[in-house]
Amino acid sequence: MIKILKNYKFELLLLLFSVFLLSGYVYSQYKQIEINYFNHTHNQVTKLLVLDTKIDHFIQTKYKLVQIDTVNDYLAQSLYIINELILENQNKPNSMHYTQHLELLKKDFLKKELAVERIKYTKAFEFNIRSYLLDTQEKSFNDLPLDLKNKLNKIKINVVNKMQQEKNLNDYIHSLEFSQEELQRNYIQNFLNKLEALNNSVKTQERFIKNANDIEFNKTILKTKEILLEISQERKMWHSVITNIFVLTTIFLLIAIIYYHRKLKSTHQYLLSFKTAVENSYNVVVMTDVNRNIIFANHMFEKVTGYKRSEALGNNPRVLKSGIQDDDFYKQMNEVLSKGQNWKGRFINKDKFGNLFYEDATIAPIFNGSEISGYLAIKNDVTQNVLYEEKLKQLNEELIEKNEMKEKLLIEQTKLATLGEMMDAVAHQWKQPLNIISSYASTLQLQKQLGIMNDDLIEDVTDTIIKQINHLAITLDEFRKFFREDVSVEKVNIKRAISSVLELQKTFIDANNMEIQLKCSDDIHFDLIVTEFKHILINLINNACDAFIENLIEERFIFIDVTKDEKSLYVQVTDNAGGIPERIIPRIFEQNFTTKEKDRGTGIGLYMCQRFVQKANGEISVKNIKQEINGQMQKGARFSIVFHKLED
Amino acid sequence: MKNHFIKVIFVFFIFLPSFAYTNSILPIPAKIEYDLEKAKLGKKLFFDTKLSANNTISCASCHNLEIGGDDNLKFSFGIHGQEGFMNAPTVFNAIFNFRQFWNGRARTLQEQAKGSIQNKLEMAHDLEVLSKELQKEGAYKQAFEKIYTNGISAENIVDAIAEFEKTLITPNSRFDQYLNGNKNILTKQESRGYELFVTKGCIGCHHGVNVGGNMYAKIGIVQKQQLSQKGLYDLTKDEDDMYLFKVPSLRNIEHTAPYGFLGQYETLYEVVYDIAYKQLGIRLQDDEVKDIVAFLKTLSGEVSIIDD
Repeated sequence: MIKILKNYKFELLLLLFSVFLLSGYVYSQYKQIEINYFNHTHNQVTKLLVLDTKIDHFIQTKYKLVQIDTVNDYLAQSLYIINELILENQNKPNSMHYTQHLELLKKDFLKKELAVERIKYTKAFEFNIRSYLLDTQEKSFNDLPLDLKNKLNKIKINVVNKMQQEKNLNDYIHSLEFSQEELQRNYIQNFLNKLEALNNSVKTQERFIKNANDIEFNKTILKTKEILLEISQERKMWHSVITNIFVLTTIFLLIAIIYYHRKLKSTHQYLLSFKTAVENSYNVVVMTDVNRNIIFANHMFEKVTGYKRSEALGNNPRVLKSGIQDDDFYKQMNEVLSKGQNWKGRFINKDKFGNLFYEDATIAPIFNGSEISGYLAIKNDVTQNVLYEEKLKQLNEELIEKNEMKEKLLIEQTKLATLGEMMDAVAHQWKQPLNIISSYASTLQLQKQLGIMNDDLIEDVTDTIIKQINHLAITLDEFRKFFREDVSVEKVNIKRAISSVLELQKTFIDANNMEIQLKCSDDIHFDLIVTEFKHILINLINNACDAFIENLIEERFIFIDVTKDEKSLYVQVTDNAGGIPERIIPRIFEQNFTTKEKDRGTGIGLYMCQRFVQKANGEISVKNIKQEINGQMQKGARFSIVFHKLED
Repeated sequence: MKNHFIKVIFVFFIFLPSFAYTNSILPIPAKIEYDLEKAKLGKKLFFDTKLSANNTISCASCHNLEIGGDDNLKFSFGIHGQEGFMNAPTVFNAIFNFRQFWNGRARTLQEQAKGSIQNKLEMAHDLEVLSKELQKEGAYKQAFEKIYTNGISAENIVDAIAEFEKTLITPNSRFDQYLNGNKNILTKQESRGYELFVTKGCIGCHHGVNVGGNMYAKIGIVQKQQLSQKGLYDLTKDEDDMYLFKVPSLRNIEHTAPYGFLGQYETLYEVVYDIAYKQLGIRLQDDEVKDIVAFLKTLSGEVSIIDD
């Protein structure tokens, strides 16, 4: 529920706003009706007051016939208004006070009405008497003697005058004096009767008028007005409170809506720029709903897949499947995505026209709260890259092949160079035994010529020759072994291998007056290609020799230290040939770099050493050192070689 | 000089009332607004004897529209031949009366109808029972339901009757024609009668549209009377209201004999002569009475009863 509220905040605000406006409108309409009702009621009461004033006017003034129907009309109207007020109040009760007051109003009215009815008849009677008094046609009057007629006429005028001017009629009538003779007359008796009746009627009328005034009906009406005003005032107060609440709430909602609208607008702007970016991106951007139906695809999608967006929208991106990738691939992808994690991978897809293309894709789930509401895939068409990569791989392979051939050639070259050097050594090695054999053979030949040949001598010579030949054979064997084509890795006894080299190089070493001190345990074994290991040693010894000669060093030492730990084999070859100039140290292992004269150095010695070491998973480095030899500090170069044990 | 002054005053006062009564009698309007459907239903009810407890009399029994809207009897007879004690007034122009009944106990025609239907001496029916009875009659049921949302009810029955009674006005009497400008329509006697009617003071009580019927008057205000009926006193129990009766209308008076609330006068001559004496204290001369009676006869109007 709260989630729904959150999702539809803006709509809810709008809804709330319109509901408020609507209810405000309805309320104001309702209020209008109420105000109308109040106005109407108020008007009616005012009308009642006017009517009452008119009725009072009738009561206070002299009687006129035309007034009767009018007064009846006023009374009827008043009663109608009062009944209407009561009915309205019954339908829509106001305060108890008001209801009670309306009852009082009606009661007072009926009292007043009764008073008016009485006043009506007394006034009518007054009128009748006046008519009579003013009647000059009456026969019995005309029959009276003239002086009596005159007297009566005077009285009549006075009475009418007094009636008209509201003078004290009572006193006047009682002051009238008639003689006995006059009183005998019927007419006079009748006349006095009437005057008495008139007098009574006038007095009664005064009483009735006082009664009518005592009712103070107008005060009751004014009180009604007051009560109505109070009620309307009270309602008005509530009305203004409610109106204020409405207005404030509406303003608040409006502000909230404006705020949200602005926020939405800026978000919209923000998203629009994103959309523009996405639309113009060189990446394919596809958005799907939670059921993986495409709800958005950018321009690049059309370009890459060949599908129009109108065709793609609502469809599942699986239409792009080429079928080359197996189900496991997609299964793995779905697993990752369903966990809510991002997936990264390469699709091999098929476009609308059946062409394969490669896409590097990142698919990210879009979350709405904690639930996945869709997926966003950003894909990069890497078909060209893949093709390039393949081409590159091919080129690389070719290059490697070429390189290998080149290196083989180089190795051959090196071997040949070494062979040359070795040939020198062998030649030296062989020179002595051959000399010995030759001299022994000459000795034997001379002794035969001299005839001093004896068997002991022959045996002695033969022994020596055989020894020397054996030595030659061994040398040859070593030499042959050195150049055999066997390049496989084998477990090598390092001391034996080094000794073999020293034996082979013995003549060369001796000839150059070098002393080689080997420190190596008998039992150090290591997996190496022995030929290459020997090459390295020969190279280093030869280089040291060259340095001795160049630097005119008399006492020539080469120390070979071999140690081993669990992982590695450490070989240090140190000389006292004065060291290598610092500036060339960084370049010393480069191919074709040499300091030697053209005919002597090929520039591949140390390069090959490095290649061999690297091939055997090792490192070679060099630095200049100082060491104490025979009590003298001497400079020299130290080559450190580390071979790492190959992992199984 | 003094005499002359008196004469001037006299002349002035003679003409003063004539200003007052110039328009004090008003003509009956030619037409009155009413609901025709309601009135038709009312007419049906008016003539229906079912309105009485034993289905013997209808409104029309006592208010015969053929003979002046009353029964021309001193006292009317209710159901079971019961005799009333007051003269039945005419139903014609009853709408213009300010109250109904002699003592004015009904303000409206509806109340009057209610009173007469439920009066033990008259129709003696219960309106609630009557409603149930009429409910059984399809025609009434249909007619009521067509007009009133709540169908047949006591209020609606008397309302319909009252609506019909509204139609019972008698416009276009000769005197009304005179009032409306036809000054030559009255004979000399009638004109004299009218003048006497005014100058003798009759008009003091008998005026307005109905030439009466718009106020109470005390019986015997000049000549004290002892009467069996006490008028408004019966309602208010106030001595001031003793013998106060509604002034009867003089419209169609020639057709509504006998006269007086007790029906004590057989002829117009009698009633004019007697009332002038009792109410005004005047002994009218023979020719004066005749003239006034001649005038009163000009107040008879035209009756037109709506069709069913």
